[in-house]
Amino acid sequence: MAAVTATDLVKVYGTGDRAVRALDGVSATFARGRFTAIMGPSGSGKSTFMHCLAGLDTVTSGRITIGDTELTGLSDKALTAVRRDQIGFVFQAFNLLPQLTARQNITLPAELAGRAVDRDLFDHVVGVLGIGDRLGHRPCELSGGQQQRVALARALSTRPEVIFADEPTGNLDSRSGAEVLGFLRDSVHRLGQTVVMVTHDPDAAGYADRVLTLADGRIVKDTALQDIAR
Amino acid sequence: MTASVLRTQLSGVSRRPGRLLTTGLSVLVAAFVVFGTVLAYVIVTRTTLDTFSETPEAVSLVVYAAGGEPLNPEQVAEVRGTAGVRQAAGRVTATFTVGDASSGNELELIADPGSGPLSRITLLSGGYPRSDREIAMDRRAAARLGTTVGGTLRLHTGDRSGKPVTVTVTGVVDGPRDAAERAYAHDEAVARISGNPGFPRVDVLAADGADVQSMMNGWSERLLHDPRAYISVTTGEAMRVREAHDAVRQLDQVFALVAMFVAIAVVAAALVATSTFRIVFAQRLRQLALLRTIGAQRNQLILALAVEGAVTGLVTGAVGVVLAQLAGLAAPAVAAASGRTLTGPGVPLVAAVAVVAGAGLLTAGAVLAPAFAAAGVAPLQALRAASTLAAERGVAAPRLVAGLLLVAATGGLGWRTAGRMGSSDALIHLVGVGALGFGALIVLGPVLIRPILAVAGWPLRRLGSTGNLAVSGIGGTPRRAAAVSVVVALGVTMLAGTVVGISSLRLWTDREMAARTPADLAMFAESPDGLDEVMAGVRADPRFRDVTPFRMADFTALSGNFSHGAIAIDMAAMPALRRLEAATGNIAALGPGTVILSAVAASDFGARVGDVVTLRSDGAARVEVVAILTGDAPLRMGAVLTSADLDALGNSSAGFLADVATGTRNEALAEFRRLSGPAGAEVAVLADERDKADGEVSSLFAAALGLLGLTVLIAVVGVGTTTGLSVLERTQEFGLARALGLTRARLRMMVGLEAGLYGLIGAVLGVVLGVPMAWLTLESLRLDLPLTFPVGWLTTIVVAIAGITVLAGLLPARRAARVSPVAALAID
Repeated sequence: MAAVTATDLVKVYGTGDRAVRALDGVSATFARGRFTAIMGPSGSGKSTFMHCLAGLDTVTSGRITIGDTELTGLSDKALTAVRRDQIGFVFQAFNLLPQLTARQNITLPAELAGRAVDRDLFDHVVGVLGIGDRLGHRPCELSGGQQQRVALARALSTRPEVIFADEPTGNLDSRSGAEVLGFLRDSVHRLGQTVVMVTHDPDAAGYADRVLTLADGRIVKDTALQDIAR
Repeated sequence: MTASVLRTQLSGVSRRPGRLLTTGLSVLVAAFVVFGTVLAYVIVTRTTLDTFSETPEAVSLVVYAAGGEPLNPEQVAEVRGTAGVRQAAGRVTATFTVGDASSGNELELIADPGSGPLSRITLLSGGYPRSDREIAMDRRAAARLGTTVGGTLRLHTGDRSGKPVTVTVTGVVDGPRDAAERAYAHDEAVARISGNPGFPRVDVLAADGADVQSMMNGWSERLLHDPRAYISVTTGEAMRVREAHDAVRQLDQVFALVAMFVAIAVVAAALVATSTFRIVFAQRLRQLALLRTIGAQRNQLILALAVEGAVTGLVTGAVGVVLAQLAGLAAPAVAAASGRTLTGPGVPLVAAVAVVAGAGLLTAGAVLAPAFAAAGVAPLQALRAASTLAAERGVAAPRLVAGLLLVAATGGLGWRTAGRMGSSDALIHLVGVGALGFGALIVLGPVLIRPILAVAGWPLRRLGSTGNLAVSGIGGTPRRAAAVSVVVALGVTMLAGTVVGISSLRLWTDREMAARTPADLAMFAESPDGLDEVMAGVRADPRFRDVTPFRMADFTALSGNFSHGAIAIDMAAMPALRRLEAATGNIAALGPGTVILSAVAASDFGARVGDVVTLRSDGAARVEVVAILTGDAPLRMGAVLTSADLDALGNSSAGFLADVATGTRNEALAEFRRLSGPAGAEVAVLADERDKADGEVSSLFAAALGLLGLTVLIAVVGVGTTTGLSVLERTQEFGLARALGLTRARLRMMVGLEAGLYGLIGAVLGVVLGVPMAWLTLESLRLDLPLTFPVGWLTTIVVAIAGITVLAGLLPARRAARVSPVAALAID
């Protein structure tokens, strides 16, 4: 069963002569437990595609389903709940709230939902990411790579249907970047997590199972990367 | 769940308490002012209750007429004759005009035994009066009226036709302070001089061991049944308490007025708080967007932000209250150092808690609008670069419509109000017009900023790139500029209104005084013999100028019921007389067979310009009205005639006026008295009355300025806070400016100028709003006050506000200047 399904997505910015079709009839299915990279040049619509999939932006027409939930037509309140309960986010920068410790950042989504933190999952994720000794620190006391790992832990700790990652290595040096990508791939293959990652970096895309390439608001290439060493 | 959102918002507060104080500074100041007012009230009330007493300590009983007629002589005799009464002093005050009835010098003659336990005065020189037609002068009155022990005074009662009473001054005394000039005499003497027997009140000193209660009972039985006098009996102690409470009640009215001004300052504080929190939340927009992205509901954010506001209000309110309390506790010691006695305020705990709670509520309320706006942030904002956040959206159509509706409502109500000027509810209407107009200003403020900047910013743009940058900086964030400028405008509106009102009042009193006191000094001769020589002597003395003779006579108007004075004087001779204005007609047209009437005399005659009226006295004068004045004629007369027409009335007296040219007034007065000696004339210092009126207007002005200063202070705090917070979020911009070559000094100047522009815009808006409001108010009061546009004062206000706000911006400007150019390159 698919984790995320997009059908005929159209996103138009502006009206009349100035209208820009950022998405022009995009359809795609993201299977559970797979790592998909979305690539494309600047202005290709890859970021818009991800924003729409993640319920951050609305589509002009088309349908999006996450798990069993149809996103299109949901109220803001319901959409917020979907983001909280079924989606995890990792961004390029400004991932963490500066005034909270790493631990508080990680448990924030559970607390927002009013749920108890899953201790086992928390310990497991923190252990895998190797940030157990950094939990009491604030983001400003962490390196870029460490911050991104905390953000990953936050995304993973709610067992979301899907994690969306937007250029997660854009601000990192290559070693930290490789680590983060490795963790993302491990989460897919060891925890069965679904990950959708937007990137313009072919090396980063190389960690994925599948690469969708967008240009001018359409999917122009859909490549399965079977030859990556497991 | 909400707790975690709350924690994210509040943890920032706890780590940076300084930031919280900055955010809530306006609330702090407001809490300080409110609680300070409460403490001032407590101090003044307690001090009054402790020290105020019109009734001497020794008084055992007070018999007084609570209304209607005073106690008649038989009743007073009955009190005096009662067994156990050691002494009984009648209390009465009679007011007289001293010297000539036209001089305007008033004297209160107060009954006092002169010595013993019932007296309120102490003798300084001479002796206390023993017989009728003798009085003792208060020290200040003696100095003012130039009287010495052994001298005489003519006293007029209010009745113009009555004969004056000549009294001898036997001594100078020191008595309770008051604004009025005072003299003292025995109760029976006062009664005989004023011609009114009986006293409204009698203070009784009981003999040692006398049964006070049975005395009260006895009087109650015999005296309390007089249906005309409503006589009451009470103890001296009860009377003292009641007098103190009456004094406190008057204070209550004063403080009710003060409370109104304080309330306006609180509104200003709430506006500043709203604006401040809007900025603070805008700076946290990405963080709020991130919270929304990972699943925080909108109402969770709103609640968290509102609680943050409440906490800020509670903390800053508490700090303000504590500071005010410290100041209040220190007040008695400070007063003691300057030789005054104040009673400490204690610690009014309930009021303190109420003020702190109020600060919390007020701030939570002020935060709601920004909280709603901030919680509405799109989650996508978390992913955008910071620079796109700073750009403000334009003014939305609903806001524009709402603003225009408010403008229309203001205009409509204003027009309706103009239609019912002078009616009792016109003022209430005006308050409504003001409130609606101000609402329109709040809503439309962002639209107005750029046009005003285009005008007001012009001189700054001429200053070069720094001024240019400052103007663009403000123009780039018109909402923020509007929010803070509107608060400045609130203060300046009232300030400008007050200035217009006061300057109108001053112009009016000047005219009034020109009529009442056309010269510094006046001499009234009882007979014209020797007057010409005296006048020649005064003319020859370089200490005097504008020496102008006049003659006066009495007349009655048509029906014979109204008595007025007529004067013959050269209306062009003295500077003050040239200021007199005619309501209708032409003052210069005065000639034989014509008359200028005062407003009152004209209405008594029912006369208009062109009518012919007959002034009757011993003789009669039939004259044509050529002008009607806005108020009195010179020396409070009812009519100005030529000398020949005045002769027709008969029974005239003469005198002359003079201004002091050089030297002090007291030196001139002594010389004037010496010169006028041969004419046996009386001298009046008209300038004193003028100074007193000027002083009253000035102190009114000072009080109003002081109270409005509170609102202006909070507005300036708002400008400082806004600039301070703006500086924090513009690090990249400043870094870039520095990287591009802006020196630290010029960056500082730019930020200071921006703050000054907030003030300038607010001041301009305030003047534009305040002056017409003041005119409308003056018109609605129907006081016939002239409408003025005091350019000097208004310019001073605008320049001063701009200057003060520049200073308020310089502190944050220092911080801005510390930004390193590298900051421009950093992301976040």
